Amino acid sequence: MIERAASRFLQNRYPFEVRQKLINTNSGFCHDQWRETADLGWMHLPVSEHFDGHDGDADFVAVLMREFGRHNYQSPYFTSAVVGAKVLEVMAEEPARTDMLHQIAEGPAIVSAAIYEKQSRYDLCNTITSAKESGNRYTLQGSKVGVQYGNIATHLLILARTSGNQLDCEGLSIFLVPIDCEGISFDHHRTHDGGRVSIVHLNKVAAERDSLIGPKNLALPKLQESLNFAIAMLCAEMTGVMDSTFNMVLEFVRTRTQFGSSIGSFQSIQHRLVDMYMRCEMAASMSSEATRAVNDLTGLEQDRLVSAAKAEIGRLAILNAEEAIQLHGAMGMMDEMPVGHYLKRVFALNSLYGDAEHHQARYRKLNQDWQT
Amino acid sequence: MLNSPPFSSELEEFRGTVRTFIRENLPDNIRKMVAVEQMDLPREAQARWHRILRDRGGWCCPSWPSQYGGPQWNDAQQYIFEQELALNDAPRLMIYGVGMLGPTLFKYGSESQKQTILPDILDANTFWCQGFSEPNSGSDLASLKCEAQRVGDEYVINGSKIWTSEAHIADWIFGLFRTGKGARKQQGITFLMIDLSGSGITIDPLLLFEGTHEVNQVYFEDVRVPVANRVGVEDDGWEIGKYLLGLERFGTAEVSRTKASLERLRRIAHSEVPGGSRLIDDASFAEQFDRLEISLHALEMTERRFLLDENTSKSLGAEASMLKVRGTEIQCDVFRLTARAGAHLSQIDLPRDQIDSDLNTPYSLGHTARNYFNYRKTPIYSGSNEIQRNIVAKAALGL
Repeated sequence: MIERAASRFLQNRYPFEVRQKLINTNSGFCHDQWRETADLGWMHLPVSEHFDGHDGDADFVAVLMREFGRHNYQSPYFTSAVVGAKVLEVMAEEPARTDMLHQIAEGPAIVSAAIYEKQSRYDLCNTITSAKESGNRYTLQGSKVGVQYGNIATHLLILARTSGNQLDCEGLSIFLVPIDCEGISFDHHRTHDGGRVSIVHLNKVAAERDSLIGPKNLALPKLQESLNFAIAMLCAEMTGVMDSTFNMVLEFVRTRTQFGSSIGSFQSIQHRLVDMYMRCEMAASMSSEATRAVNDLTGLEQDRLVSAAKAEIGRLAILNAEEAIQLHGAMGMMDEMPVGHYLKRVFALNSLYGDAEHHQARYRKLNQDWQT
Repeated sequence: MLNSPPFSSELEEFRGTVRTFIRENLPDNIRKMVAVEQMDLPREAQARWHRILRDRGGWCCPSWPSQYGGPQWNDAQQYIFEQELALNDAPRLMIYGVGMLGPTLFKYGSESQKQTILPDILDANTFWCQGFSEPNSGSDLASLKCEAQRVGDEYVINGSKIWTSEAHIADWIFGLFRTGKGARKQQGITFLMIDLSGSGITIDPLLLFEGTHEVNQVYFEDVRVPVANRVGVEDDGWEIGKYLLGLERFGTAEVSRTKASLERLRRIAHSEVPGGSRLIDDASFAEQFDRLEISLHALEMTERRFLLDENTSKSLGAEASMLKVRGTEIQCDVFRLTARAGAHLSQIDLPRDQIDSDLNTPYSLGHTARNYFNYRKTPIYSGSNEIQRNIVAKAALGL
């Protein structure tokens, strides 16, 4: 049901030409459309019933995210309603939690995670940004990269060091800070796939005591649990991208004629399509596995399966997008053709919350922990 | 880096001379464009560098004989010169005029064509582009339809050419046009040179999906071309086209360009980020990097064998195709790995003029991903790698 509704909405309100116009506006964001998606109830999906969501079942969100992937949909949905809401759901305490989750689900609040730093790459332990306690406040100092839709965010979830040294996995805490807090400044940028991303500078930002959410110094295990959910949703979105790119190529090789025949009648082309098709199937299976992991598994088991899925799907999705361009020939390089824009999208999705290589290495490390 | 075997001491001395000249004379603003892997240089930049090389003794046209202003170099000298250009971030030579039309005219052109056309290429007064592909004739090039109808001592051209690189900065186009219908589609094709400023010509830009304007569609409507602008025999232009495509495919291996790109990635990977670890210490990255370095060395030695070994036949049909396939595959792999290097910061899409020119950190903003997208064209252009494999199967394996 969600799939049909989402598909219809995106087909009508987000065709390729509209998308290209929207990503080229100043903010890359359409308030009216955001309002409409809030009214459709999509932003309730990722959090559990207790907070007035449908039931927090990853399956529902995955269906929606796959549809986003199919339509190459760009919006702050993932950063706010998935990552932001999940982190708050898992880590925050009442009553602030319910209030914030409501604001996210209804649309007025857009929360963006500011957890990575230039030197950290995808390693969250490697955090320099500090939060020093003084009186009733914390003073935040440092800078963050990869802050999605920082240009329209209302709040930031900031990962900062409350104790320990730069590479320690302990000593980290999460703060929820409104963006108009004094001392926060931004460099806003466009991303290759038409989204927006910011570098955030924190200069003696005075955060209220209650902006600390979750356990002080011990944020990482819970943060990682929230991010596992988010990563599983990225996996679903990538399978949607794979579906669309595959269908585009299939249609193209059926209709493109060279040497007096459709190029799809050539064996070498058929074999390439078959390989792409098989990659789609493998990715779909691993996406279901990622969803199962966050629904049914915990701890190391969940971590391993989520990383396995992100590593596998990231690789397959990029390979398929490259193949899709190649099989289109020069047409595939054209700005007016959707296919290249899907490559940009999977390049971004692969990189978000750890690229395939990062998750491959994480999987190895988790396997070592698993066996000892 | 794996060092390739040195050439003779005379040739290595030649390399030193060439290298010194390039390093001392390449304008810094041009070097920077090449160093961020920009392939589509503005006309002014191309012409400026071309003339600097011309003034050194015709170095702008390394394959040309001295009677037309070239340096009269042997194969090894040309090879070394192009290596040094690439390794020192100098622009690519002007492929259409210098690399393709020049040699075509030496072989097939009339004396008066040589006299009128070659000097303007040598002086970078005339920029050329190439009109081969058409909307429905890509891989199946011989099916081309753009019509040249003979009317008295003129041809009247109707139709269009597509994916025409640099047409928007070019003065003339050369290409293949349909003059007749033979039993085979390869018959009835004629090689013509056309002034782009003539009436009836429209050039529409076609943007690539990462934003650059490199290719165009060129429309011809009743464009009149003197018969004197024909090269070779009417209806027999396919042979010239094949010769030309062979020339083009050699350049497209871009071995030394990719070596330079890989060196840039090496510097990035070895750079220390305050508080971070070096990328080269990431085992998965290092493995991929090393694999590319080894593959590139294999390609370089193969190219050297094909181009310079006297025992290899000079017809070079399948050889050029093999170099093109492997060259562009490795090139794309290098750009993909480089785009990965910046992690989150690779995602940022900055306009070209805002690119951080400090290229020695993984965190120069975003142009690495843009290059990755842009260079996806290389396995497609100049005869897709699929077509190249067909050629190898036929020419080398007799299949």
